[in-house]
Amino acid sequence: MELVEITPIESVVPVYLEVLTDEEQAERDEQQAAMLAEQEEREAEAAAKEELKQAALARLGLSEEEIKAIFN
Amino acid sequence: MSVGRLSTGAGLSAGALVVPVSPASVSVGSGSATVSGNGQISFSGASSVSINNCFSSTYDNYRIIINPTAAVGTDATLSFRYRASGSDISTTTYTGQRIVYFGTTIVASTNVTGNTLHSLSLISTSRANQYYANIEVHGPFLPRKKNFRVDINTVGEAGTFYSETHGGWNDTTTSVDGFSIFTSGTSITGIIRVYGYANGA
Repeated sequence: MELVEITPIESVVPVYLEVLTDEEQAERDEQQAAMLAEQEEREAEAAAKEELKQAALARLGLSEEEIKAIFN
Repeated sequence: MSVGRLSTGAGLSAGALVVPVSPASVSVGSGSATVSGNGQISFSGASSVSINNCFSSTYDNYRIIINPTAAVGTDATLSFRYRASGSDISTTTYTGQRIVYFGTTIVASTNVTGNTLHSLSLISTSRANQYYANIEVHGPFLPRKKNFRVDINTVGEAGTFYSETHGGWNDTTTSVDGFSIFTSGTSITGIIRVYGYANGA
């Protein structure tokens, strides 16, 4: 990785732009794809739980507000 | 019991408990950044922002506040890594446990070990300015494992409010002097502030 100085005139400390080699860029892209996959997995898990909850409420014939009123 | 006051940077005074910290330098993966005299780091169009030499022996513990104002690309995760001597620590030394809650749903992750980063949750492209992360880092410059805690508020594209709390640590026992945040999307724009907690206060 090469650092190219791009410090704006108003900055009180140096600022650098990281210029990656093709190999480093590929590695970073791979890491970012893995991060995104993890996030999607988490969201799918959350959506599945929400769906289960809604299905259970529907079977009881009660709205979420009605369930809260009963238990709170 | 004495009550400390929050320093405002330019008006630093003896006895301040929380003190703004300026890094020695900043590097970005794309875009640009500026560091103002009070230590505020403003970045624009950055795929990553690396803060160098903000941790030192002056303070044991730090608070980092991240306020994005815009994000470009697909909805993305933000992540955090420590840095030492200008390089990210990207080894499998990060451990974390998180709880995400939205509406009446709560999702707790298992205790994940061997990660290469700490997650900073999701940032939505259309609601990036509603994202807020408040990070506590304990002992980054001390010769021991690094404790990490973050509280995040973020809003999904559909307007769903998410709140997340995430605790963890990094196994590195040597000093780290900085950190990076980076997005899995294209870029983010916003502000980072770093504060040190005065020792012995």
